[in-house]
Amino acid sequence: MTSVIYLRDFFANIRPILLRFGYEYRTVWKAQIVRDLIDRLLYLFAFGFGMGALVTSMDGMPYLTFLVPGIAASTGVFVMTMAMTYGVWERSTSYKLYPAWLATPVRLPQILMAELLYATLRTLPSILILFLLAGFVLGAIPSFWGAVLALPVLMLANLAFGAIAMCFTVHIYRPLHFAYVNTLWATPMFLFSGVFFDLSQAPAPLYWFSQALPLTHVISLVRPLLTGQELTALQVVTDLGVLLTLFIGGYAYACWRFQKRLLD
Amino acid sequence: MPVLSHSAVPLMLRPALVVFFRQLLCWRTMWRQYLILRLVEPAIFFYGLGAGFAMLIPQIGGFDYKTFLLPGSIAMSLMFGSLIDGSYGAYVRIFMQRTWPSFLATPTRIAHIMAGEMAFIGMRSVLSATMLLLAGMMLGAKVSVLGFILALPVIVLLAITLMAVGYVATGLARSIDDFDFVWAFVLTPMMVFSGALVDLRVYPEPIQWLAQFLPLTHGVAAIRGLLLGTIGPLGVFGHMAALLAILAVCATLAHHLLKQRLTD
Amino acid sequence: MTTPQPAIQAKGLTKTYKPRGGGPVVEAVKGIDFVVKKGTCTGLLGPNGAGKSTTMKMLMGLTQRSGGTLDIFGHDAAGLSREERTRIALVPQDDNLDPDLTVSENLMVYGMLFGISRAVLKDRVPQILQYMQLTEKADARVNQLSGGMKRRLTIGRALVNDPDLLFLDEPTTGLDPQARVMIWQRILELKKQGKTLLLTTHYMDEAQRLCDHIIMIDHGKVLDEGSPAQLIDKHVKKHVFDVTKPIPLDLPPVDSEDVGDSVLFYVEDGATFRKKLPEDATYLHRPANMEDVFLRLTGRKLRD
Ligand SMILES: Nc1ncnc2c1ncn2[C@@H]1O[C@H](COP(=O)(O)OP(=O)(O)O)[C@@H](O)[C@H]1O
Ligand SMILES: [Mg+2]
Repeated sequence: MTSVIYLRDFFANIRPILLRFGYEYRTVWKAQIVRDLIDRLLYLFAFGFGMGALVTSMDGMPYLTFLVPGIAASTGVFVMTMAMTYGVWERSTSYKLYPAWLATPVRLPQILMAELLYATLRTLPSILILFLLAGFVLGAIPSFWGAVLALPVLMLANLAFGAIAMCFTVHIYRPLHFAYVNTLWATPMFLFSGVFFDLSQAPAPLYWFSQALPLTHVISLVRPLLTGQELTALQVVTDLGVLLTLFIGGYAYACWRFQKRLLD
Repeated sequence: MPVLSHSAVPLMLRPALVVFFRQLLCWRTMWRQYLILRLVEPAIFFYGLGAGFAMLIPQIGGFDYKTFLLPGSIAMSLMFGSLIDGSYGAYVRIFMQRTWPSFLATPTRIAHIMAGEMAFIGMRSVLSATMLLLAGMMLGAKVSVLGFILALPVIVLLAITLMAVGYVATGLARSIDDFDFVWAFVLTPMMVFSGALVDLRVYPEPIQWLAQFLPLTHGVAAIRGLLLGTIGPLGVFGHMAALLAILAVCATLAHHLLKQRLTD
Repeated sequence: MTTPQPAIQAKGLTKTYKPRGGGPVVEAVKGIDFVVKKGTCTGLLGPNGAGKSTTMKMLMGLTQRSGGTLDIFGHDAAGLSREERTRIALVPQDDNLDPDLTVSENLMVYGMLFGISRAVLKDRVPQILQYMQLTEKADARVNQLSGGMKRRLTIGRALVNDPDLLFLDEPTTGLDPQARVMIWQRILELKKQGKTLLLTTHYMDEAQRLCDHIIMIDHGKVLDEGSPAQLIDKHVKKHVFDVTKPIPLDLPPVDSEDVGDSVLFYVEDGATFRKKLPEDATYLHRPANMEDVFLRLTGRKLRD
């Protein structure tokens, strides 16, 4: 019974914060989509056409087709990392909005969940645009239904990326240091998770390193979905399991540490 | 112009020198982070892309991909360091910490501050470029050290030019969030279309032409030419002239914009 | 009949800040006891760094207390139920308005955080804007407001849930006299409605005018408490003579204090003391007030 009340309060309290983000989004959405998407598109064109001219086929498909799922999966890495580091810092510490919200019945886990949900929802338009462009304009997405199925996978992945980024944020006390999260976490993950080349041909140490990166597990699901490659049940269960674990674990850890930090 | 009202040249330079030292003092607490970021970020691109594409692209213009990539990585690292300092960094110093306005309450003029900060960036870029060169050579790039020494003037000029580009953005920016557009429309396009990562010649002709307006294109071409020994003195001077032209335009424009912003 | 339950009861309340990465710990609050009665306005007064804001934060559950007990409505302040929390509101010392939203959106979202429905807020938000004289600014962004408007909005935001218990941390610091008078009116009206208020301020005239009960704290400890009149009676005499130096030699031995340029004499019988002063002495004669009590209790040394 108490858990039912808890859940009811939990979602009742998330709503106003989501509404708050909605008000914000209403004024910035155009610029936001450009920001979230533009560098992905540039990578897609630069490598798809640039490298595509030199590398004609990768893993048995045209290089551009190979590239699209990786670029789509990496969108969330950067959007979520920025939102959960600088964004959370700004709202919790510079604007002191978290103390303002905590002076109401809202509790911290609800705030953090709202942050995660909003940022994840925000990636949806960017990914949709990317899919439409790659699929209908460039003809680089062979499987339409695969792309539809990939959307929920990408949303789960982005929740996980956000939760992980939050875990960094709770340990960072100077905004200057958020640059490390981008440089030492997001960028290496982008480059070493098989976005640009087929990992099965990579040297063994690189291969194993890549398996430790969450983005690798997203791509290993999304690429087969989009390109119509075969996907085993074991693969699906493992990769979804990894993402779900990271999301829940990261969220729980971030809640616990953030609580300690704010109330200290 | 108030700058010219000092007749003696040393007196004119003195405020710039003070600004230079002010930057040096600030750097005392940040140099570790700066070196880590400016070293690791390009090294990750260098290794991440180098390892992946080395297997696929044996040679670009007669050089292995790693050797081809190192000069590009050095130029990219200069771009991040200078452009970010000229945009985000300067915005913080001008509008948030209000360091520039406090300087302007003394005989120091805007031109002095720009000159002093640019001199500092020039010095810093020599340091980070040298470190990257050593790291790249250890990772297996085969480049000429003499060529690097000859490239130092280009490196300093490139860093200063990119700082001036950053200042223009600062002169135009209305809030710190506007710099997301610097990422989207300046940093990333330069990264992918300057020839730093892939040979410019893989792109269609019009893109190759447009790329000539990017300062990084000339920096990459001159630095790569010198490090790989594929360019003559005339070529180097040509690229330096192009950089100087961009610098002159951007510095003048930035001075005009910032003066307006700081005096209205 | 039992005595009515107080709104707030603190016993041996302490707070120690441990700086991250070592360094000396700060004992911000060192074991204070106090009671805030329902329906009163209680002033928490003390110099900068005395521990006022820290006490407020502990009351709101925004910082964890290090020791002692702290009850609100008879329940531990750190473990209030959702319903109890909807009856409390805080005006923090530094405005923490949402810069991404407009003025009315700020109130709307904050009201919903208290669980108030949008339909109710549609009526209440304009009322609060009106009450705080911000109606023209309803659609402005927060960073387009002046300091005084921001403060009024912060106070209005704390009224959005119609709280029974309201904490005001320096509500009028940095405001012009017009805004201060307006906020005083609002506070007095809230008092009339039977709300319980806990207020900190550095303006002694404000404390004297608004508070029924004053708690003086410094260095994390309670120095004394009582009504303004009681405190003045107890710590200073009724009249103050501020006599510019040089001081006449043959003055009666009364309570006095050297403040640099002049000497303050505290006396019970003003008329008698004035007769003792020579014709040509430069002096100011005024009734004693809370400021005298404050400086008496906390000393004249600068803080911060
Ligand atoms: N987050 C904090 N960390 C460390 N010390 C703090 C913190 N907040 C307040 N202090 C210290 O606690 C003491 C009391 O502060 P505060 O409660 O803000 O005083 P007041 O509101 O009475 O001016 C001061 O010495 C202050 O420096
Ligand atoms: Mg305070």
